[in-house]
This record gives sequence, structure tokens and C-alpha cells, in this order.
Amino acid sequence: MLCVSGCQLPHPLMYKIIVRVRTTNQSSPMQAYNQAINDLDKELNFLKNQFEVTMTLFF
Amino acid sequence: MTTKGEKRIVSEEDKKFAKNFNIMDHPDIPTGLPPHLQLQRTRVLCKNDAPIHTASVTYSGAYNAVGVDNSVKLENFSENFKVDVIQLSKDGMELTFDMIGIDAAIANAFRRILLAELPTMAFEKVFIANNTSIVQDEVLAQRMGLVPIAADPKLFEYLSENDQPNEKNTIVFKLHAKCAKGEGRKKVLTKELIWLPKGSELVKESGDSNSKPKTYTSFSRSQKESFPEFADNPISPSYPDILIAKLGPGQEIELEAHAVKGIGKTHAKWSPVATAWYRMLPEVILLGEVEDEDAERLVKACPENVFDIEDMGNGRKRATVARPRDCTLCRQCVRQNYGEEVNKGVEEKEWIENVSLRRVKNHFIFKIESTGSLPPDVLFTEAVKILEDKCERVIANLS
Repeated sequence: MLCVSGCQLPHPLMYKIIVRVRTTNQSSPMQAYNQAINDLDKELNFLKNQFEVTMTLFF
Repeated sequence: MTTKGEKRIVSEEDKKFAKNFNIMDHPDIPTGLPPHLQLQRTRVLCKNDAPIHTASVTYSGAYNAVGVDNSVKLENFSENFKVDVIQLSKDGMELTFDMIGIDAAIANAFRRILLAELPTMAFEKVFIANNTSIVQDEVLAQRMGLVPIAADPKLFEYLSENDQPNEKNTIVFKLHAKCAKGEGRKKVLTKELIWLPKGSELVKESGDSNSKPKTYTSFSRSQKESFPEFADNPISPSYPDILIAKLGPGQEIELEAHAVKGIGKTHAKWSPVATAWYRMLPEVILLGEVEDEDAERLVKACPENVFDIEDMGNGRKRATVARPRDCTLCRQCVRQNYGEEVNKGVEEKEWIENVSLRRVKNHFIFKIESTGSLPPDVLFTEAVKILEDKCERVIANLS
């Protein structure tokens, strides 16, 4: 269960982002972050497939 | 109604009904967000001076007080996401399409990846053997770098500092243009760039005369053999009529240019899109009835013809929104008096309340203009793949 999450860009010229995740006792922040990225990966995969299907229908 | 003291016999059916009864299921009780909150959540209101409600509500517990879950779920995304292709230009290089159901952050991520992180082939090293034209060497080399090359970058590899330029990572072109004395000014266009599939022809000066002369590239095979796609259609710049330089009589340019793979982040010449941008779908709502003369003025005021007149019968007219997609948010329809000169006898009217200009927060109209190396739909698919790769890299590094 996620409490808070946030990200910070310390300096715009340096490519470094600090992500902060805080959870309750029930889950670990690593778990939450991993799940979030995995979900994003699946969403992107779905998006790509939908786009390809739409393009083939268009032609 | 039972009087006090009497026992009421409750049947099994009644007990079951009472157990499963939930007041929220009743059809008259509204579920979901109240309309004003839904407006705040899904629309950007473009007021006269500045837009409001521009940030997307990301906190999953934002609407807990009204019992609505605002969390982002994978299944919800799969159900609500939709892509619509609006237009593909005749040469197939400009694509307009809609994406409904994604967040602004993801749309922006795609735009940034399309601009900066998709690889292309572009001239990096220009070997100038002879340049007697007005255009200086370095200016000529810079212009050569910006010439778009129609070659699929997926077939080639990156050339790093320690590598030798070979047929897998370099494309070599030659340009030899001369303007004879007595002729008028001559234009040097990209169609005079000739592809050299066997590699560089310029010989490197080396001390020993008995070994084979070395050139600036080490091609082991002709690129026509290693890339069957280019056997019949030679690699050429995307457009044959781009002006590189102009030559006066007696001037000559002789050069060889080597193209390598790179990404837009390093230098904008490697960006595969002329540009790529998105806008949110505009929504124009008439908050009240706009009739007769006011309707005429409203329709005339809009430069994009978003509004139309509709006859109501009895000779009365009404304004309706016909083409909200064309709205450019010029705000002429909400200006006092439509920016017209105030004529004597015509009352000044306040129109700000009648028309509401809005943008739908999760509906994006993308336009991708490719420079010619890859068609725009392939570019977008590659951009999504790059974002997926980044996700996987983060996951791999976390574990």
C-alpha cells in the first residue's frame, strides 16, 4: 500500500532523477515501484498493439 | 406497521433481500463524480486570461470522500484506450492521429522520444578534396550534415570512436560539381550526391608504395550485396531538390561525405522528424442560447468557422458548435464585442459567459512529420519500443 511517491530533478543539465517511494508495512517500496514499472510496460505494449492494428485497418 | 408487543414474522426471502440490499444500487442515486468535479478532472477550462485545471489529478485517493476511486488500473487503461487515424498525407510522410485515454505525461514522453531518441543516418564526416566556391568548407560541411538520407537506420550499427568505418556502419556519398567558365550561376542540388556502395574512393596518403592504397573506409563487401534492400533501389537523400550550394563560373566542389547512425540528442541533424507535436482536443460549449443577431455575430467572429447557424423556425436563428476540432483558442468568440468596433446603436455585450472553451485532458491529436528515413507510423512504433526498453532497463537494474 503506497503512502507517498515523488520525483525530483536536482539540476536540469545533469541527467539524474531522484524517485522517492514510501509505503505502509504491508508492502515494500521496491515491490510497489517494480509493479508500477511493470504495469507501465504492459500499458505501452497494449498501446503499441492498438496503434499497429489501427494503422493496418487504415490502409 | 406493527403495534408494540406483536412479533413480526420475517420470511427467508426478506432476510436475503435485506442482506443483499445496498442503497447505492438504487437507480436514482447518482454514482461516480458529481458533474462539476468531473469537469475539473477531465477538462482544461481555457478562460480569458489563462487556462485553469491544467494539472491532471494523479493522487489515487483524491475522491475518497465521495467514494470514487481515482487510481490508475491496467484494466481500465486497456478498456478506455483508443487510437484513430485522421489523415495520412499523399507522400505518406505526414501522419495525423488521435490517442484517447492516455495521460499528458505519456504523450509528452512520445513527443520527446520522437524528436531526440530515434536513430537516423546523417553525414558526420565530410572529406573536401576541392572547394573553390563561395561557400566555406565548414559551412558546406554543416549544410551536408542537415541533408536527410532515406536509409532505414535499423539496418546499420553505431560507429563508435574505436571502430573502423565499414559497410555496416557507414554510408558513403560523393559530390563533384563544376560550373564551367562562361556558364551562368549553377545550383548544386542533392540529386548530384552519388552513392558509393563500395566505400570511399579517396586514398589515404601512406609512406610505403608497395602495399594496397588505403582509403578512409574499410568496406569488405559492396553494400549492394550486404543489404539486399539497396540492391535495386540505391540509397539517396530523401529529397533530390535540396539546394546545397551555388557555384559561379570556374568554381568547383569535390567532396566525399560519410553518413553514420546517431540520435537527435547528440545533434539535431539526426532527428527523424521534421517535427512532431500534439494538441489536446478542443471542446467548445455554448453555455446559454445564442440567438438571432448575436448568433450572426458569433459565427462571423470565429476565424476558423467553428460555429454554424441553425434555423429554429419562426424566422429565429440559433448558433451551434459545428467544428470544435478546428478551434485554435484565438478567443475571438469570448472577446468583448468580438473585437469589433463599437457602432453607435449596437449595445456592447459581454460574451464571456456564453461560450466555454475547453480542452479534453486525455484526448491528444498527434501530428508526426517525417523527414524521409522512415514512415511516420513506423517512427511512432519505434518510439513506443524505446520507452518499453527504458522500462525494462529500470526493472532489470532494480532487481
